Amino acid sequence: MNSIVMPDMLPKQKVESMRPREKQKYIEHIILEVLRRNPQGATLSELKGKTPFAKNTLLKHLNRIVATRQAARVDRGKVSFYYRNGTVRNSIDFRDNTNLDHFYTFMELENYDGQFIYVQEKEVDELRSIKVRGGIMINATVAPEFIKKLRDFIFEMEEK
Amino acid sequence: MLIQVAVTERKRDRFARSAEVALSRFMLSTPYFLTLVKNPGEFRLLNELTIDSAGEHFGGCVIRLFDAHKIMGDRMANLRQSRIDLPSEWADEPFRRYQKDHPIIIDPATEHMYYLAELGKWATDERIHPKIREFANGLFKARKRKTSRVWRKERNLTLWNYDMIKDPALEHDVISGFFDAELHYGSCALLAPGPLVTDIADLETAIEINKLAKTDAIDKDAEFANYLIVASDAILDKALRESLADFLARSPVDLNFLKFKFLNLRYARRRLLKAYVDFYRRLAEIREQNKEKVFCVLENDCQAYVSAAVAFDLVSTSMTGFDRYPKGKSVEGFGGLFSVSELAHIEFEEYKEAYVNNGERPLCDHKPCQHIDPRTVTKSAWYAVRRKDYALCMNDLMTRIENYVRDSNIEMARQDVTNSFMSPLKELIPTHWEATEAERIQLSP
Repeated sequence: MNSIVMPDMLPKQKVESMRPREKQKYIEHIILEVLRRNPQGATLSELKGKTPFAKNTLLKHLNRIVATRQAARVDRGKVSFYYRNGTVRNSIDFRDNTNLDHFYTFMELENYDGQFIYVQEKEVDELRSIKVRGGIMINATVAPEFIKKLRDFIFEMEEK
Repeated sequence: MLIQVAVTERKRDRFARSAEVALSRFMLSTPYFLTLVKNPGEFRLLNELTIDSAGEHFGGCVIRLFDAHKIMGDRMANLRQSRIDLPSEWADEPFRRYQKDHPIIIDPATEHMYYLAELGKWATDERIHPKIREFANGLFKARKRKTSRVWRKERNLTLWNYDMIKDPALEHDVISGFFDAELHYGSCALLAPGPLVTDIADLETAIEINKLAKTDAIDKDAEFANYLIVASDAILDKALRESLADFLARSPVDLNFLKFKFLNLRYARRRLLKAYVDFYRRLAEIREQNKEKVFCVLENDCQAYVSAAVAFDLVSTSMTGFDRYPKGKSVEGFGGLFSVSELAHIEFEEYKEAYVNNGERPLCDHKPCQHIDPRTVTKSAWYAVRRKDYALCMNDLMTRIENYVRDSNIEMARQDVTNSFMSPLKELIPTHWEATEAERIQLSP
């Protein structure tokens, strides 16, 4: 198996001494960066071998990244491969006017399976730190139909 | 994405350029002037000015971290309140409008721990990291020592080059603490604290802090920027100059803030001027090769016009145009008025004469100057007018550079400087700019 390409990382001692909040973000950033640089995917053991982070830490972050659709997991037998969820072609932000700490990023995403519309739900906390709360991916070909259904659903809800 | 620096070059003329720089949610037309505001009065004046005489190339401000609480108080926190009493809402309305439309940069300004003038201010804001507050407080208490200046410098050297670098936990904690404070005050760029660079060892420390700070700035609601405070004559050291340029060229960070402390090239020695000619040229080359790079210079005193013409997209000076060693609190008085043609201040008495000779009309067409008669003006009115006028003059000068670039006539900027009181600075603006010159700098991966 080919070795995975790694980004520049801080030495372990410097990562360990980070404040917990910043450390979480840093680990997540490194994982996403590794997946971006390795479009062929990376396994948990590869990540463990190349980063100074513990297996459980990596697994926790990978699960969160997959849950928010920033990455995808493909199981092949006993091994799980993690992939970055494609390349972002275009993106815009939409602020929730009722809650300015809440916003959505609409992204045009392209990967091996085709083109997708990826919507990320983000939140800015009291220290103006951004966290991805959730995400949804819609195949670009079904997006108009999806929007129609969503609109019908909203109007139905309003009528009630 | 919501946070990123995006540069769209509109026009380039050799080393100079005009561009649209997207910084956080703001779109800035460069060259752009950021006003350093030092007290609530100046902030109010700038706010009034952006409403009465809005301009394309000014409006944003720089606030030093230790001044931020005095200037903004809890107004940033109030913005997050969903329920607020009516008088507070009215009182905060101009501020709300300002921060919605104009970028605010919070400058850590840690070099002020080297100078006595502002030392006392560090202790007043609880949002500043306790380590730094205690440190500044200790220096302030010992201000009456015989060798206070040297001692202060040594203490700073120990703090940045030993205590911080050898203790990563402290380093992360101080950097994150500064970021939290900057974000609290609504900064749209994150600048890490650092030492005043006087030699290569300081530069290495500052670079290391910036590299580390980049990791602490991940997923924050503001753009991370490299930030280096350089003593004005440190640039004389060729090795330092090259290391600094090399760092800026290779760094993956696009937004770069530099501050040349107490630099005044109008009266500089020839050797120093030549060193800056070389350094500015290197920056212009870096910007030419990597169009996404944005350079900003803070507290640039009389060089601001030249800096904007050659290598910097964003320039900043105080609201009077003077960034000299502080000599106590600024008081209302009859200071000089900035002249766009001289690129320098005309003394008050001289302005009075010029006003009379001009048929009792002001020398410029700026709105704040129109109803002021210098023969009868009060100190407080003059205090406001000269500050507002300066910001508008800088807007005019930035527009002038943009027009020169648009017409491929940037040599006219050199002509402006030659015809002004700032004529020695003309050397900073290159006369020749070959494509091959840009290849001098090596940007190997």
